Amino acid sequence: MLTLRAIYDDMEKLAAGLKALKDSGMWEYEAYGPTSLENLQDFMKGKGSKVRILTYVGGIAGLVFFWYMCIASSLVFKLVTGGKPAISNVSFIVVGYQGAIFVASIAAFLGVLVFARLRRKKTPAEYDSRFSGTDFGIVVHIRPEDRNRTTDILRASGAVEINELA
Amino acid sequence: MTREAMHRIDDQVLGSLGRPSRGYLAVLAICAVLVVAGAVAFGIQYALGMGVTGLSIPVGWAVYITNYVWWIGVAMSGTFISAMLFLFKVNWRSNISRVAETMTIFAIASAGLFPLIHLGRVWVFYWILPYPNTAGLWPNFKSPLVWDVFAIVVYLVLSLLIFYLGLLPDLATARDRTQPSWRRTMYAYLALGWTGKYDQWRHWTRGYLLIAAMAMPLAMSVHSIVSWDFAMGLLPGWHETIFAPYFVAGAVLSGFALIILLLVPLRKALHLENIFTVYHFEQLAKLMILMALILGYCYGVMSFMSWYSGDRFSRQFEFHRDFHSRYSPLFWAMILANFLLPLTFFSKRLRTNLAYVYVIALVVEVGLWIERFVIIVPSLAYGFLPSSWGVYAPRLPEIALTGLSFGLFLGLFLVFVALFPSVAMYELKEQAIARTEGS
Repeated sequence: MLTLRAIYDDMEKLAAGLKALKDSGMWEYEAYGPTSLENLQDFMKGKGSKVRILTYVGGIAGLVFFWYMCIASSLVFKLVTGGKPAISNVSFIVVGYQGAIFVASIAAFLGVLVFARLRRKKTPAEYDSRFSGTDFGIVVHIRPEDRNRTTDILRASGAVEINELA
Repeated sequence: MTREAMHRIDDQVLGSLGRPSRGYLAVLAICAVLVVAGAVAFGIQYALGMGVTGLSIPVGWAVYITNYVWWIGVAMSGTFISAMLFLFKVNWRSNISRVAETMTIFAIASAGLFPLIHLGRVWVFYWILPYPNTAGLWPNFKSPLVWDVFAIVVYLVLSLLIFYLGLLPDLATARDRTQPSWRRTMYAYLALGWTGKYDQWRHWTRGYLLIAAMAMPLAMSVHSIVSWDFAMGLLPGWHETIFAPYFVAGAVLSGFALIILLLVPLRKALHLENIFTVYHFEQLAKLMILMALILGYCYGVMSFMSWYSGDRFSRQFEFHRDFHSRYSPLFWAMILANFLLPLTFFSKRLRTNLAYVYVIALVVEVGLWIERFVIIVPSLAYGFLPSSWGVYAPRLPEIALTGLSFGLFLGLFLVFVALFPSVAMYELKEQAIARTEGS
C-alpha cells in the first residue's frame, strides 16, 4: 500500500477533493483540519458518534446508582429528620439528578477519548503540523498502480501540495 | 484571504503567551501576598477556633457564607454563559467562551474553600461525603447542605471536562507552533495526540455538545440548591419560594460583570483589542440589562409577598431591615448597584464606553456581594424575638480570607493566560471561514 498526503489551503477545496475521491470509488482516506469537519460527513465513511449512547447509558447508571445510594444508606438509620420519612424520594431526586449528570458527563468525556483515540503524546507520521494551523489535508491509502490517477484527482480538486509517504 | 486570517489568529493568540511583563509579575505578587496573608489568618483560626472571627450567636453565618454564595454565583455563570451561547449558536460567544470557562474553574476553587473555612472543625470535612465506613455513618440526603456538596463536585467535574475538551484543538495548535521547550512538552502531553482528523472532530463535536447541553440544567440546579440552603430555613427573609430563580439571575449577572472585569485589562495587556472588541462588551452590557431587570423583578416580588402574605414576622422583618436597621444602607446600595445602574446601559453611548462599562461591572460585583450579605446576615441578626437580636461585624480573619479567595482566583487566572490560549482559536477560525463563505 502507498500513502499520499494532499495539503489544501481552503475548506471548499478539501470538500471537492473528498467528493472526487468518493466518486472515484476510493474509501481509504482521512480528512484533517484545524476547524470542525463535521459538515463533511457526506463524503466520509463514519457518521454520527457512539458518544451519545455512552452518555445516555452513563446518565441512567448515575441516576440509578445515586438514588439507590440515598435509599440504601437511609435504611441504615431509618431516622425521621425534618419531619420527613427515612426514604424521602422527593429529596433524593436532587442527588439522583446530580449523579445522572455526573456519570453522564464523565462517560461523554471518556467516550470522546476512547472513540477519537486520544491517548498519546506523539502524532502519527501522516500528520502535518499545518493541519492544526491554517491548512486542511487528505491522507489517502492506495495501491501503487493507482498512484498517478489519485494524484491527478487530488491536484484537480485544488491540492497545493502532494507528498508520498512511506 | 481566509488562510491569512487564520494565520493572524494563531500569531496573535499564541504570541500573547510570551514572557510576562513587569506589570503582570507585580499583580501576581500582590495575589501571592493576599494568599499568604489569608493562609496565616486561617492558621490562626485553625489553632484558636472560630472565636477569632466576628461570628457569634445569633449570627452564625456571615462573610464566609456570603463569599461562598458570591463565588458560586460567578462559577455558575461562567460555564452556563458559555454553554448557553453555544447551544443558541451565538457567534460572538467564541471570543469570550474560554475566559468564561476559565473563570468558572477558578471561581469554584475559591468558592469551595469557604464551606471548609466555615466548618470550624475542618479536619472532619470528609464526614459529609458518602462513603462506607466502619461507623456506618452516612450523610443526611434530605439536607440541602448535602445536596450542595454533590452539586459543587458535579459542577466542578463537568466544568473541567467542557473546559479541557474545548482546549484540546488549541493545545494541538500550541504544540505545533511552539519551539522545543518545557512548554511544548506540556502542550504535547495535554493535547493527547490531537491531529484534527475527521473522526476526532466527529466524536469531539458530539461530546462537547452533550456536555454543554448538560451544563445548562446543571448550572441552574447548582445555584438553585445554594438558594435552598436558605429557602428551606424558616427565618423571615430566607423562607422564600422565589429564591432559586432569584439566585440564578443574580449569578448570571455577576458572571457577565466579571467577564467584563477580566476582559478589559486582558485585551489591553495581551494586545487582543481586535478579538475582544467594543461590540462584545456591548453585547455583554445588553445581557446585563436583561438580568438586572429580572433581578429587580425578584426584589419587587419579595417585598410584595412579605406584605401580601399577611405574615406579621415577614412584614416586620422586611420593613425593619429595609428602613430602620443598620443594614438598611446596604439594602438600598444593592438596589442601586444591581438594578438601577445597569439600566443606564439602555444608552448606546454609555454601553459602548469601555471605561463606563468597566466601572458599572465593578459596582455590580460589589452590589451582588452586598446582596448576598443582606440576604444572610439580617435574617439571623433580627430573629423572631427582639431580646435575642445581635449584630455582626467582620474581623481580620474574615477580611484576610476574603482577600485570599480573590488572590487565589486572580493568581490562577493570570497563570492560565500566561500558559494557555485565552481565546478559542479554532472557533475564531471557523468564524473566519464562515465570513469568507458568506461574502
